[in-house]
Amino acid sequence: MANIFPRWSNLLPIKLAICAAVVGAALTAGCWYYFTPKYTRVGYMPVQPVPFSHDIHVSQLGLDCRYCHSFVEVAAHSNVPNTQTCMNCHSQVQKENPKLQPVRDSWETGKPIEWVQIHKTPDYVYFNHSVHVNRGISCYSCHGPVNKMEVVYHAEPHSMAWCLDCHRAPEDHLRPQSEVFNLDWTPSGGRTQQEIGLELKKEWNVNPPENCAGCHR
Amino acid sequence: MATGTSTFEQQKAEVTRVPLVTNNRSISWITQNISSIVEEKTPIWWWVAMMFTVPVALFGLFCVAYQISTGVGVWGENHPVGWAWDITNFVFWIGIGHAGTLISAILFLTRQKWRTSINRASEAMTLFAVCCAGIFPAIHVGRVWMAWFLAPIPNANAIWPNFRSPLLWDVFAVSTYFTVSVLFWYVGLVPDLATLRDRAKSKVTKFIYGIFALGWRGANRHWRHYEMAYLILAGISTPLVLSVHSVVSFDFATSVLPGWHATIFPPYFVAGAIFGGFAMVLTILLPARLLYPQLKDVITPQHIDKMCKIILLTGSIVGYAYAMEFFMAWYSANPYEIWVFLRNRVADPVVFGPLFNVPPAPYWWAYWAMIGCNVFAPQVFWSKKNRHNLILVFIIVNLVNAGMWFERFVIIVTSLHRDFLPSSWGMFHPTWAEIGLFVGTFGIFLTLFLLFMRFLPMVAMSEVKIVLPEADPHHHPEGPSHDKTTQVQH
Amino acid sequence: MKHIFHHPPEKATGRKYWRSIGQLAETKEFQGWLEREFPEGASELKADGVSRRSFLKLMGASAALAGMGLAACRHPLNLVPFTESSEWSIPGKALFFATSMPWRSGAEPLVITTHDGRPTKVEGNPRHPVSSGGTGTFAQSSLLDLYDPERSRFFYQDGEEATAEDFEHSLDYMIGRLGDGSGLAFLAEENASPTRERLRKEVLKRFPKSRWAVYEPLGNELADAAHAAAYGAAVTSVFNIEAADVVLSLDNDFLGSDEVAPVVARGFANRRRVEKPGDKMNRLYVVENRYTITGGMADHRLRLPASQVGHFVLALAKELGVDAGGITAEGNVELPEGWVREAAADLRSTNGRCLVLVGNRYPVAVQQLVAAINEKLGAQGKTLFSLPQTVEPALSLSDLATAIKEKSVRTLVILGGNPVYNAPSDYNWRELQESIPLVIRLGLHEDETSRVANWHIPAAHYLETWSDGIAYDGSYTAVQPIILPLYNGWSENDLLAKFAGQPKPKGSELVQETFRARLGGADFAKSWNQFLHDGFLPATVKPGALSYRGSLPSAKLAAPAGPGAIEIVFPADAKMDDGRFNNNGWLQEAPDPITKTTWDNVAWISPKTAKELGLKHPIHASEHDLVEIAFDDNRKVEAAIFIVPGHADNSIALSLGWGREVVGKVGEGTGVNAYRLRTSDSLYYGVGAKITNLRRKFPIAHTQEHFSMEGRGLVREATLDEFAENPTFVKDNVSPPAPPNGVSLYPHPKLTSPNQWGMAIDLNTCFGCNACVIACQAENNVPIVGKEQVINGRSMHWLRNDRYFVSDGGEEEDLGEYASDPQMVVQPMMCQHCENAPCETVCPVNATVHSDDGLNVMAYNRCIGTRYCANNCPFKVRRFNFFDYNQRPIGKVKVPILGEVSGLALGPLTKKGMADTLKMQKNPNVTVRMRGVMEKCTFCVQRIQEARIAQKVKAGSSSDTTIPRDSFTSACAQACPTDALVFGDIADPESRVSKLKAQQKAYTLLEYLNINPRVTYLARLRNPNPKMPDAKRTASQAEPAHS
Repeated sequence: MANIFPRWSNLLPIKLAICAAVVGAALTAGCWYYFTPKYTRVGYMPVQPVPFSHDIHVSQLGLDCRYCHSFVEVAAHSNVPNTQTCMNCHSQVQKENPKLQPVRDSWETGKPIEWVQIHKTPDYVYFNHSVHVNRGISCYSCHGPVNKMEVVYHAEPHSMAWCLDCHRAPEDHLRPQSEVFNLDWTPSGGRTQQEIGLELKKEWNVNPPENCAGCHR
Repeated sequence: MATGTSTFEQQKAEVTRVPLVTNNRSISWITQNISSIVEEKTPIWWWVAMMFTVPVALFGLFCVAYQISTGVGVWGENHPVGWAWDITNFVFWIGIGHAGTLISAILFLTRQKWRTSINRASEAMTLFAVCCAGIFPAIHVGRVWMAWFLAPIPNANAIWPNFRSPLLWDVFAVSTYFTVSVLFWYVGLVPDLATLRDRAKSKVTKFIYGIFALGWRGANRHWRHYEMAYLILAGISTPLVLSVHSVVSFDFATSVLPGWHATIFPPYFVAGAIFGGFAMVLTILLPARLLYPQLKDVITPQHIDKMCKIILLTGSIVGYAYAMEFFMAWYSANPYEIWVFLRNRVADPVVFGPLFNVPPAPYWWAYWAMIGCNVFAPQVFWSKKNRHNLILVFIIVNLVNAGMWFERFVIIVTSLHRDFLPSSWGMFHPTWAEIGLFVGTFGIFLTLFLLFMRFLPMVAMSEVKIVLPEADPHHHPEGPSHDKTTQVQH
Repeated sequence: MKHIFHHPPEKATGRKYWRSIGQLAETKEFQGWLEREFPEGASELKADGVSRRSFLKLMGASAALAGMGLAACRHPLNLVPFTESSEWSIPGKALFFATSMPWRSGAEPLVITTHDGRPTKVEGNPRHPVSSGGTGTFAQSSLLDLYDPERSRFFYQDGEEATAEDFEHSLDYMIGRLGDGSGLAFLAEENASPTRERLRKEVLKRFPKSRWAVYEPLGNELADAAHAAAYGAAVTSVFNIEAADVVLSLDNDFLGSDEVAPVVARGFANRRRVEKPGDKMNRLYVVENRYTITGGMADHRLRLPASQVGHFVLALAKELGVDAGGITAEGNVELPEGWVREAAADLRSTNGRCLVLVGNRYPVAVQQLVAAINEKLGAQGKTLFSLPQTVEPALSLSDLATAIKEKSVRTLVILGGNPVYNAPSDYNWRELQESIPLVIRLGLHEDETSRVANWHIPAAHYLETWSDGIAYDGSYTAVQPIILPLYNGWSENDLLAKFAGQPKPKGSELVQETFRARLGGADFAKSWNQFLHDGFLPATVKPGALSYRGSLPSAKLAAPAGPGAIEIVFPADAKMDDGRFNNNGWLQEAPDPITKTTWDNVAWISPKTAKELGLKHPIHASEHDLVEIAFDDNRKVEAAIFIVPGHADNSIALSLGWGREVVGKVGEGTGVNAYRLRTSDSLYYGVGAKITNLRRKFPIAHTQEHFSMEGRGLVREATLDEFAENPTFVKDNVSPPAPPNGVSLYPHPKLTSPNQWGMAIDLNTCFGCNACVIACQAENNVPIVGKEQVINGRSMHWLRNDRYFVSDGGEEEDLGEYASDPQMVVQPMMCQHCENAPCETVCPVNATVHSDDGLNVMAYNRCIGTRYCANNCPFKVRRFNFFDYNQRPIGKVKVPILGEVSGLALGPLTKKGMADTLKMQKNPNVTVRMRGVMEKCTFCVQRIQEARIAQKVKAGSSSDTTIPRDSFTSACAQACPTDALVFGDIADPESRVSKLKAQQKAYTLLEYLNINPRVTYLARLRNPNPKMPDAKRTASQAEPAHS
């Protein structure tokens, strides 16, 4: 019977397949770039109005986290320091540093500094800082080595699966209460994190919620 | 001698079967006349029909858009009636989409030759019905954009769907059913597509049919593979005929609600589905026969007769199920069950209400409409005369279509609207949005079917040819007529 | 609106910390912040013409409004701290302040929950004997009034918008020209505030000729008159219902609208708590024309037209041998044989430990006679006591009206109230008020009265003002502002201070002065802080004995209602009170305790009378018959009828407080105004109205269509004696029976947590007062959906009170025939938190699952809204968001072609978002749900988690993580004035809930489904008097009814 399709059309299926593959890849990339929720955006490192370096303040000057984030132990929300907190020191130290101009302006005008938010839990998640830091979970576990960060970035994927990993096996992160705010702490005395964690878990009767109501209300 | 011959003629007439294709048409006639439906110039009535069905379909789609953008509240559903027309229509259409697979798979495996002339159309009908059915569960949810939660895919939330939920089984059952039906239908189409390709005049049609014919050349190997594939697919889809509607029925059977919570549901739903499915096949084929007279030789009174018998059988099964439900409610001595059947459904103002000394049930009319259409109406098919009176058949099958819709409405709404706590009892009133959507699905269904009639062979030519006398290796074209002539010569 | 990133600066001194918000609102940085935070909000309000300042004040209270709903917001967010740190406030931590709600029958002591300066919840003051933590419906709902976006915001001079400064100027000028005040008159609401009383005296000192009148449409005018005649004006009487073994209520709804003091309800309930067989219980006789929640609790109830109650009292007096003096009655009334005799005998048998109460708007003579009866029964000093009168007597409205007619009032100052709307119709108050040269009106809303006032001054809500009050027990309570006036409102004390020649007070000076006077010597600062902290000073004066001076007047009670002479009764509305709550969406949508109607008032009528008038109750429809009720051509209204079982024949009840003409969007077009029918001589009822069937229908939204329990064992009842004989009657002939060994096809949830939450509800102390319903709504951000949606059966209440009428024939209602005189039972119904929950197995996406502490939890953000769970819920307590009730207008909106259309049905075409003030009310610890998701009672999981987290924080590096016993409770249980609902840990055998669940009359619903609900009901008991004529009936139907 007569040929309906020219010879070249024999390759058509392969060509189509390749096109499909390319388009598919493009779509995936697009979704990945535009639609991934904030809380899994690891590496997000926005420019802050004031180039505040946690590295200098914590690692070099040895400030405690709680000096600025003063309510982290009592409240669900860990507050960002207000201008007054900055000025406590910077009214004497680095008075002329141009980088601190925004802080001084804020203090004079009373206009707050607008820090860019990095870590954001969705509105339907009720995360509570106090219960974590009071029960041997270090800042480090969720925020990474902030004390070493010149500029703060999103260190961990704050996805539900990630939360559950710890809630199902808290021993991987539990540490002595005294070391919660010591971001450089590592298991010592020849004991592994596991051993320490399991001991504390037993001793403190740690049983993190694994049901919806634990975080969603 | 003459007398002798006459008795011989009579005996011969008695032993020869009524042929499946009348006026012993030849193979070429089949090809010619079936293909011509597709090839000849588009008839006026087709355009007229489309002018009706397309706007209706579009309005249905508008109702969908409105509901999704505004909220489920645009329907009449409320507390306590959380499901109403949406799921009613879903089950209704899924039921219709049942005959197709039954005819193509089960009748094929049981070597029912008469299926060949109707299976193509009924399979197409199945697909279109399932399309319509699919709309409802998809959009009845409050947040359709979150419906992907139903898919068991790994996700950042580390949550899986709830595999205990019959609604999830539904998702799997219906999608499987649809996929297999499509494959089955398409595989069956391939040889006919090739025929159309070869007969096509214009290059474009040749090209298009060519693509879908997958290079079919009718070679021996092709036929061998084709028949194997067809057999396997028939084998796969046979259990689906039973599974789909059983699973749909689990939505209700596994609940705690009186009127839903019944073990009889799966068989009763399957029977009901076949019942409604065949009714819809006839609803569509009878007009088609009028529009294309050549079909009368292929879809013969014998076919219609057989389908009527099936409707009569399944209708009686359904009737038995209704009776049995009622009996179980009474036999269980469970006041809640008894309430639903007697006080929500059966008790009418005239006969049963007074008989049981109870007030009329709010939905007694729906219940008795169901009984009338599904149980009483098909009984006329006991007489052969009625089965051959096409007008009557057409009326009855349409009653059955209505009755099957009422059946689902009765099951869903009358059970929900007055359940355990009288404090939460309420009534359901449909709104224009859900009525429009329901009507719209008919528009969608008919539009698709009209397109199908126009562009694809309505009858499986290759299969019908197989059941022709010509296809029989022992067929003698000269047989009886030869004798006759010799006698005349004497 | 969960995480709060900013916290307002606070001053260190405890007594002023509430002011921080205001100071904040003034600060520059906050203004700057606001502009960034609500640019569109700002523009909107500008459009409304709100002054910038008030907008900032308004916003000032809300420290941060993060995104609402379920969607996480994607565009980069900024964290904006304040420049100055603040004390007292910690982001996301609630602060609690004690105050009290002024009310005609005494201030109600409260504790207000605030989040970052925003009052979000009202609770009773647990330290105060009157409240003991419980609240009434009105106190709960008053919070929404505070945030009502339609509250009065501006000063108006003759309809023109003016500024506060303008007003102060003209006020000073005007006051300067008042002379001896002979033309000056004040019209105030009933309120025992000592500060107001003090200012009143000072004003009087400055303007000796000025007049001071008090008007309350539902007030105690007549009761006071009767009381003065019986006991003298120097004292006021209080009753201790807890001490009474037998109570006879003559149309006194002391559990409902007539008395909001929770102490009365609790006192009564304490005598109905029966723990084990043999326990005693008080007995309640009720004579009333319509069903009230008090009547629902009655052991013996006699339905009698209000106009026949006087005759009943005479009969009772005769029976008790009380000399009725000159009191006689026209016409005679057929009372059921033996009813009065046996009731009287029963009262007498208690020798004094009994109480006869009468409605406070009955004719003075009747009330005096009741006082005589109480005297005769010796209730003196046993159940009836006296407290010194703290308020000088004032002129009545009629006195004032005459004065105005005589043109001797040239300046009228109206402090609250709404006389143009609710004064008796025969005064034609509108004309009177128009005839006065200068009318200054202080009001929460711009209403009917403001329209005919020269000056309208926006009033401050009681949660915004400094004042004080006297509670029911005579204790001195604080009214302190929880937030600065959102709309620049003035308090009545502010205004009175101006008249007294003082400057407008900046803060608490006035109250401090009063306080200092009461304090005597003690250290002021210390005790003042203590006072604000506790919210009250304990009552110094203990209730004393009343001295009865029996002088009965000679009066002739008018001819009673009967066939042909139909009476109209004007009860206080269970939701609107006198109409002041008309723009309150929570109350509008709260179902009436008896009829379960919302968004309208209806004319209650008995089945028999309805039949005579050819009126029918719609079955399965909202279309109700309309009638015209007319006394004469001017006094007439059109009202929809509602046939209520147990209603007295020839009597129609049409509650007051509806049909407002000038009101906000919420109250617009709701109900009919019964005040039009009410005259000064028929303050409570009028006989001889003409009822015309208009043969038209009117849609009425009610949440419960069905009256009968259909013999299902939902509310299980017995009499006290039956319970004594058969303590386990609740378990008898339960049909269908529970499955033998409770096997379940599905694996049970693992209940591993040390705490297992559950609830017990005592049907014997629950009256169905709605306090829990509103409390739940406030705590859990439950939206209102509007009349149309309620008609469609989509009300969103997580907790509802099911009301059933129990009579010999359960079928009657269906047959269109009513039980003429059934008994009423109430059953609070919320998610039962079944251990084998049917909803959980059917949800395809695991959005509703079981928690390890036994909660049936709902993850809104996982829900896709199949509604399968609701269908499979035997209790139908799951609520689906059919529309975006929080974000879209629930009322009608105008559209070009279609005209008036439901805003919800227009969906995306309408403007999205809710009023900022309403956002401020939302509980930040509860997600605000979007459309398309299912919701339901969570046992206040946010409170559970809070308690758990608090304990874990406390535990720190120790193992002590067990939550202290009964240390917190759910919103409904906390609000319940009678402790009928008890929430707690059922794993702890010592917890209150466990003890209740252990009682023999405890049962769960629908045992046969094998669902193991966590909510247990304690059976309803009645205590009929076997000698009473209707005792048989009471007993016979008291067995748990089953089909």
